[in-house]
Amino acid sequence: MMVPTLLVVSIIVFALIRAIPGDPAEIMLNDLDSDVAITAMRAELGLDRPIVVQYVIWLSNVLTGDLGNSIRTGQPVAEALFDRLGVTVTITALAIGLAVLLAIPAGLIAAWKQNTLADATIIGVSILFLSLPSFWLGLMMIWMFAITLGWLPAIGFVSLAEDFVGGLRYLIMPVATLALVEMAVVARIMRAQTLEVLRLDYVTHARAKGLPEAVVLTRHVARNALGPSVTVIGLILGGLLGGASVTETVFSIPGIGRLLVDAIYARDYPVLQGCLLLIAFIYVCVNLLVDLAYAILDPRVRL
Amino acid sequence: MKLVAAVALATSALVIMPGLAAAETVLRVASTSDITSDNPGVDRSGFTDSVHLNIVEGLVGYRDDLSIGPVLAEEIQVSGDGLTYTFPLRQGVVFHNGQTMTAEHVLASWERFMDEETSWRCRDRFDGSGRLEVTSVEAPDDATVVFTISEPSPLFLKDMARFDCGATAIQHPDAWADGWQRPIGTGPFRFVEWRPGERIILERFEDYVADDGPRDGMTGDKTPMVDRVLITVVPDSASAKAAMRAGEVDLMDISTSDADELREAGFEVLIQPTPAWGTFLISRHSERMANPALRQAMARALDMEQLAMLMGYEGHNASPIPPISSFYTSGQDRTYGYDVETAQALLEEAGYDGEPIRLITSRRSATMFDQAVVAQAMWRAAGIETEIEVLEWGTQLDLYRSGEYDIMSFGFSARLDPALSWDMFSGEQQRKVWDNPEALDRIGMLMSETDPDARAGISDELMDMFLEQVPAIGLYSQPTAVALSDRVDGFELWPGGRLRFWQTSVGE
Repeated sequence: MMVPTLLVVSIIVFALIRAIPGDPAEIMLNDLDSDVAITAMRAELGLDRPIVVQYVIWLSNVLTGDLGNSIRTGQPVAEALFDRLGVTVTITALAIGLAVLLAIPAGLIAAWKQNTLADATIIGVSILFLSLPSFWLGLMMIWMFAITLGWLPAIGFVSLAEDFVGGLRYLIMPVATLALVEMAVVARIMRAQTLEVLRLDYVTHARAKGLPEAVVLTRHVARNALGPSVTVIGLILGGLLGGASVTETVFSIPGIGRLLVDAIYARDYPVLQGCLLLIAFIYVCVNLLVDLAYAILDPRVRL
Repeated sequence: MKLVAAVALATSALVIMPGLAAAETVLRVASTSDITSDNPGVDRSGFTDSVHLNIVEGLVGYRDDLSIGPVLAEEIQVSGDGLTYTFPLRQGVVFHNGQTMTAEHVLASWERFMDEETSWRCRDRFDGSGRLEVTSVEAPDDATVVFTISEPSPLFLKDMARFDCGATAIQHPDAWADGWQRPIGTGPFRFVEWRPGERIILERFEDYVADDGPRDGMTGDKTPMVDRVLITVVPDSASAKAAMRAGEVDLMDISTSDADELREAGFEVLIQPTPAWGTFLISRHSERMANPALRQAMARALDMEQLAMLMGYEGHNASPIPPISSFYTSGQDRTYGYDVETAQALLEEAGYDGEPIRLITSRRSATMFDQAVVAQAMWRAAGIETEIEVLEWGTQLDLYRSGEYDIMSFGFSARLDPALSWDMFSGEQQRKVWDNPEALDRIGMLMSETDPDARAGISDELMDMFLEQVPAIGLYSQPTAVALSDRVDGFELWPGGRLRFWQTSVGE
């Protein structure tokens, strides 16, 4: 299904982004334009050809691994995507990892201790982080940890390969911003599912057998409650890899999200097409991984 | 022997250590925009020009008073008939690759720019497709270049010095050997690195040969004082301000509306008027706006001084000629006259029925949006209803080019000659708002007349017609503003608006 899905996505993307008013030549030349210059630039960019011809040329180039060059910067799109994807993958992997580490136990405990102070606290904190816009949370973190305390750098990104410790300092705030918001989503799903599982007969049976509560929760309840959470984590993962543009903008991180937003404003068609194709590819892959994870978590899926 | 060697080693270490300890000086700049290329004059934007002009230089450049002075030329010699421009070159000027600049490099740079393949933005200013043609460029010796043009022109040198033309930079041919490589200019800073969307690094050019004169626009002494300029792209202005407060940024471009906040936070704020012009364009393709009485009414219903004050600007300027220009005469220093009663009488004369007028704007700049909101309130007070449509910038530009709107909140980038200032919104192209034949004739005269007094007179006549016909409502010459940390010393803004990193130092 991957190839037909990507093909359909590429056609829709190609047609829709050309339907938006404004074109790259107008935006690049701004108010210093002349009709001659705009016509020349459109011809130079191949925008004067019929849209079907443009699509066929683009698709045939993509099939040979050439995604074209950015209209705005001249950088090869594949290179730009590769550079930015590395940044986004680093942040997303850390954020999702942290969110899962916090959210799964939190959801489990909240359900286990339903209607207690622990449950109310976990639910309250989840609702709080869900309600906060990520840009506001990011700016507050900058105010607290960069301006007031001076512990962390406010903006920028340093690759972990370049400087591991320095790079981590740049990652803490953006990763925390993303993780706190996503943690809230996962924790609530995990709690709801755990509550359902806790009411099932086999849990009562396990307790009646005299199994310790920790074993009941981790071996019997958690595993069966994880299914919907994995689906949500998959969706979050796809969404973040496709670009956490707001967080990337607040912390000036050169990731896929910012590349995509900048490309939209500049009508940088090759970059836009490359980004959206990559995001579609990521979603297809993540869906596949989620399906595989189901099979691991629930033997009935394999039957 | 071992003892002597050890002592020598220890001594040399002591001598070297202070040198090692001397930290590299870095000017840390935050910019909400990224550059679009490292190819001056070819792929550009306003901020891109700013960065490029710290790396490359042309034969001539703009001074603080927007007149033209020599940069790589020792002087500018113009023949009596105004057709031959001779540029003796400054001696000993070195490119960033260590080669000495000669007339041969000037010819090579010019040939590259005029080659269609280069896609130089300003080729049509010199190839005869407009008024002017450069008919020959010769190098009688290694240190002299002679340009011959087809007719006397007040714009030849100004076009050569234009920022968007990359100042017609003289570069070493290695820069474009086997396709475009990277800029190899003669400027005070070398281009080191550009990571799109992330950062740009410039490095002090140790062998820079500075001009004798004082710093004056793009001319004069341009000695680099810092080892590096690190420009970080921070697309969100709130984050950029936060980074400045956190001590991570020394210099950032700001909106004038942020000036007070940053001053209160202890930063130095510089504000400099530029020739960029804020305006409300009135489409000549809009049937309802074709009524001159309605246009007059809209102009007279605006309290321009209050509008300018609310935007944080020094004053109103209806003329497209900036007050810093020598062509800003008393004839230009006139306005529509704020008078609500007269405006209401004009509305009656125009038969205005109260139907909302479509006002297009965007949030590309705070000013473009804010001026629309303030004007809407002023117009409403006079009985004129407007409906603001906030569009994304690309969509607004599309409407600007097609002329399919009633009124548009707009800003023109700097034009540094009166002919260009009037021409930017006048003509027969769809996007231009003023196609009055008499006005266009006068603009044509401005393009070819070389006598400054005669040019000022023509420009004043245009102002008479502009105020009467109201093809657009002129608002103000927009300033540029930067905030500086207390580490920065010597940085100055100038009317050209482009950032100059030379003659700027940073302390602890």
